[in-house]
Amino acid sequence: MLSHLEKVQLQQRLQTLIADCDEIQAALVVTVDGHLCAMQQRENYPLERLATMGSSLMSLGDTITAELRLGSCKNIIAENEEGIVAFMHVNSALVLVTLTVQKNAMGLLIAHSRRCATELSKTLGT
Amino acid sequence: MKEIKLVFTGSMGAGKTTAISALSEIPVINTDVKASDEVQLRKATTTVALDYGEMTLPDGQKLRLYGTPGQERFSYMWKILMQGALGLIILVDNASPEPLADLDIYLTHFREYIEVSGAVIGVTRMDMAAEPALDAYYAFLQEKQLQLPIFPVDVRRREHVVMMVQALVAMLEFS
Amino acid sequence: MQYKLAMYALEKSDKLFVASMLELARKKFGVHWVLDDNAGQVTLVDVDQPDGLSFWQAYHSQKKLVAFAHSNRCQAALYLEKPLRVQPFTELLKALADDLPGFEGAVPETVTTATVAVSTSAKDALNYQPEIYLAGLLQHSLRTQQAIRLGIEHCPALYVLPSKHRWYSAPIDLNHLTSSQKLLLSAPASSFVQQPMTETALLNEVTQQGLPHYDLNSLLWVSTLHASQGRLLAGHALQHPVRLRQWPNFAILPYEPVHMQLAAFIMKTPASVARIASNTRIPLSTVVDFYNACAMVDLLISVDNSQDVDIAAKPVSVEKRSLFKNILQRLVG
Repeated sequence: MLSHLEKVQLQQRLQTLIADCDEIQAALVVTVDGHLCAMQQRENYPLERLATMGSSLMSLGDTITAELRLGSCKNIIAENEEGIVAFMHVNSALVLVTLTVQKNAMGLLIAHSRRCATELSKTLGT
Repeated sequence: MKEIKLVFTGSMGAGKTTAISALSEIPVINTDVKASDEVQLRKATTTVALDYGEMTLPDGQKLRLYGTPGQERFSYMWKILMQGALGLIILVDNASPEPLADLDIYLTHFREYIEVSGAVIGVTRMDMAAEPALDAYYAFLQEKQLQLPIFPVDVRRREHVVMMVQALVAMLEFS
Repeated sequence: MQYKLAMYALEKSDKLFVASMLELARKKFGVHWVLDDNAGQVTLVDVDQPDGLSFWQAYHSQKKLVAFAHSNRCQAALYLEKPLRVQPFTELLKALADDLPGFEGAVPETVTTATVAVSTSAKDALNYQPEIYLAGLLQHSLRTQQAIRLGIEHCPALYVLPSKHRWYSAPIDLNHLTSSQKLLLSAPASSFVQQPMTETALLNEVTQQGLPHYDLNSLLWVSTLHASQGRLLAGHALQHPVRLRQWPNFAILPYEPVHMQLAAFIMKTPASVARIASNTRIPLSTVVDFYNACAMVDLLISVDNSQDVDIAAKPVSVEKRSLFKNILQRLVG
């Protein structure tokens, strides 16, 4: 369970993420079992549901890479007609989920998200 | 080739993964993660996507065994996993605080499927909690106008899991 | 002298015709036949009907049956050709009466006694009477709440504790009985040495011997399955529809795959024994044994005759049937 301070730290870092990257529409941090910890969004997305679904997807990614012995799962990308969603571990307990509606912004999405996740990992620990 | 699958659903801790393990000829693939909420008081981990096992039938076809997450938050997975399922087994932990309420969740969610194909209900851990008794489960089902087989089971025992699948197959023959 | 005739699987019009011809036989030959589907000494079976044929196949060696059909394809010793005609039928009734003991009439006492004895054993042969088997002893123990030890030579004793609805014995796998265990379970009640016990004494004895306990329903169930031998429970009718109150608890009741099919069918569709056998194509004797066992553990509910309707089953595709067979094979393999 995250402390109040940790939740505040998450919230602030997600605000920075959204501010730094215009292409990112929404960002959320969820527990590996699908609970929403912090979120920021430019529009209204069903982030609670995305939280649980994100945890399912991340877990499946972990399972697949374990089965294939490809090391740890770094991120999962859902590339869609109208946008991209990226899922990646922050640490063993948390997952970062970010969303863009810019179909050509995959590189930016992953880069900014990766930096955010890395920083959060250092702040919160493993 | 159309997939042949059985789905095990039911409340958290009821024994879905164990039931699949009893039948699966491969180690069960699971997506269990550490529980972060009140769930951890009952169980350290929780399934967030699915469990998977399989059996090879005499003609070479694979019978795929899927376990759903138990928590209702993951009900979207229930829908995904039930697509094209041959049969459904619902496991209920009789030692949980409200087993009939738990059962109601799955009967409601899977009602449409059950009315067409039926399902089998396995009540686990009746040795730890004798109530509600089987009669209470049947009375509950009667209120819902459902007639399904209900068995007290220990899913660690292969013969009990086999029995549930046999009952399911018998129901499918006459559905 | 009165003789009893049962009918099985006859169409309604034939039944009415038979009923009317009994009086003709009485007037012509002085043989008095009455209809009694439960206790007939002779049963007229329409073997052109699927359930009639099933019945014939199950019982022709045990009961006195007359095959009623367009041709004698069963090669029956007693055969009546369709359609029903007065002379052949009444002559058959006369011939049958000459061979059978009657039920009433001015006869010497010794003959009457012999007649009663014969009729009782004839009835026993036709119906399953649990009171003369182990199941009857168990029912008595439950009714009187008397704990009891049941012994039979060369076999482990059975201890019955009705207050807890349990029985105790040396470890036994009811799903894989040996032939001697099957004989034990189908033995008549008179074979058992009955020793009433106090609960305390019984519990001491079973604890001392380290005997495991089982639900008493499992013994009622399995003893009935083996003792019935295809004979319907006395007082029940093959044509009367029933439904199951709930599925048999196969977690404690031994079963074969066919019992699952029967449970699935009867739960879905109230039906008579005859219709169950006909629709499921499961041998009638197997259906009867299962029916009796369900009755003994209070799973059967009698329903209105109007509910015994032949509902055409949704055909299962060959592919699906093969799949089910494969799954069942793999499970037990």
